[in-house]
Amino acid sequence: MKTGLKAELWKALHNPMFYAALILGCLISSINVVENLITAEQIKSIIFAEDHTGSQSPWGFSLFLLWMPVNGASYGRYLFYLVWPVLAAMPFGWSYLQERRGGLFNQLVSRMGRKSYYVTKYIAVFISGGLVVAVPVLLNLLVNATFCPYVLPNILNMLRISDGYFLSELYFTVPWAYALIWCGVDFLLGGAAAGLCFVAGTRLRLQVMTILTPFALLLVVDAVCTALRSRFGWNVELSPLQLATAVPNYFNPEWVVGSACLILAFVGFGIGYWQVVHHELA
Amino acid sequence: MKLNLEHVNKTIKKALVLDDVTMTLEGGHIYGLKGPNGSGKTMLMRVMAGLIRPTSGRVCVDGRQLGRDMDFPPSVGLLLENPSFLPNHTGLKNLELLAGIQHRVTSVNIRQTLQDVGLNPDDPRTFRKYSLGMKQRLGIAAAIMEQPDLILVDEPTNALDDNGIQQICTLLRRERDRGALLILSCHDASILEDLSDEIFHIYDGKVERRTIS
Repeated sequence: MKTGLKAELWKALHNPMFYAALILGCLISSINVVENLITAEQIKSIIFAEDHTGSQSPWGFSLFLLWMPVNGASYGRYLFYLVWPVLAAMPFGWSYLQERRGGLFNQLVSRMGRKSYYVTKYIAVFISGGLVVAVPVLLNLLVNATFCPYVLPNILNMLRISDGYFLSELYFTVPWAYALIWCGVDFLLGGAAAGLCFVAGTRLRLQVMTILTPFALLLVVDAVCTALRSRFGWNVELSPLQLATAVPNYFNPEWVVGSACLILAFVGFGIGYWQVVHHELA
Repeated sequence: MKLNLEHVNKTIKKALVLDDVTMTLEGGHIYGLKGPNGSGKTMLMRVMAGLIRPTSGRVCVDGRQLGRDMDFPPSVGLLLENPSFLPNHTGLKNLELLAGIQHRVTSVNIRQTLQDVGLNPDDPRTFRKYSLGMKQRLGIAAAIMEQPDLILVDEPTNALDDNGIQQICTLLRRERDRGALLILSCHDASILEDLSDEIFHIYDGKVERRTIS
């Protein structure tokens, strides 16, 4: 299985769709950088005029306030966290359908077996999907760090993160650790969402439909979560589509984020396993 | 190697595509499958390869049942339907990726197999830019490069010129002489009769008769 995994990862990370998704993700996240550059130009003169050197940012101008996942006012953030399931599925989510329809599937399963084929394929889809979501988020942090001051975010300036939000205490005390952990969360959500492509199996004829499958499924889940929340008056965000951003409209405690990653991965892997290993053998 | 099919039936969406197929096939022979389009030749090959499970009946390889004792024959080379590879990689890279799964052959063997089927191992063109005939040759190379005990080839001479057909026929005979069990289907009756030691005539999923060349 180790060799098969190496081959699948090689295929997943060396194909034009992976590069295209990565570039597209970076381009969308760069909208946030441009917005922050404009904000920086507007506020720079004030900061220098005040000769501000403290560890807190009284102007709300801090790397960790403007970074895309936490910047609630950014159009870049809005767009990125709307299309992230599509980005996640783009690199390799379509490969099972392509290999199955083309016939390469036969060559591979006859050499490695169905279970190994599926497990290695799922891992490759997961990693490529996770990377395409997490890398633009991390790059966004690094590029913003070149012109945004590294100062601790202030509770008075960051009203969208409070008790009940994911690792809120860490955010206000060790923000860089929080940022890295959030990149990890986006990696897991991106990977798990990409795995939802297997749910479609070979029922869909077009690769583009397979790529849109996770987005469509997460939209349905989002609608159900919204209905449940308004019906029962919950103030916790349950929709995985919204949980990819660090500042959803409702609380996102650690257990909710962790559970969402696990459930998505479990559903994608489980249904995919049934489709690929059992159902399509009949 | 010995391949036994015992009362194999396959039903897809209530249509019987294989009807009580029973046959015994042995290594060192080439078996041909002959029949009109949709008669069940490719489906039969897919069942033999373990790609599809029969609705009823058994397929055994050397006494071990497919789907119960093992998922696939332990050593099998396939060319079913159209040859398909990664479009953005060369023929050599594609074969190296496939061979890397089981590590049964070295890079030298792969290059030799490519030459045997009439392809240049150092051809920089990607699979996407191959002609139909080149794709077919690469598909045959993938099926035989690991010297499998069981080789299933569906329409091996598709898109090949006369020279290519001769080359492939020679290769398939060489594999038989090595001791492999070859099963092939081909619409060209003269090629099928020329290559095969025995031919199974299939109509509506049923083996109607067999002829010995």
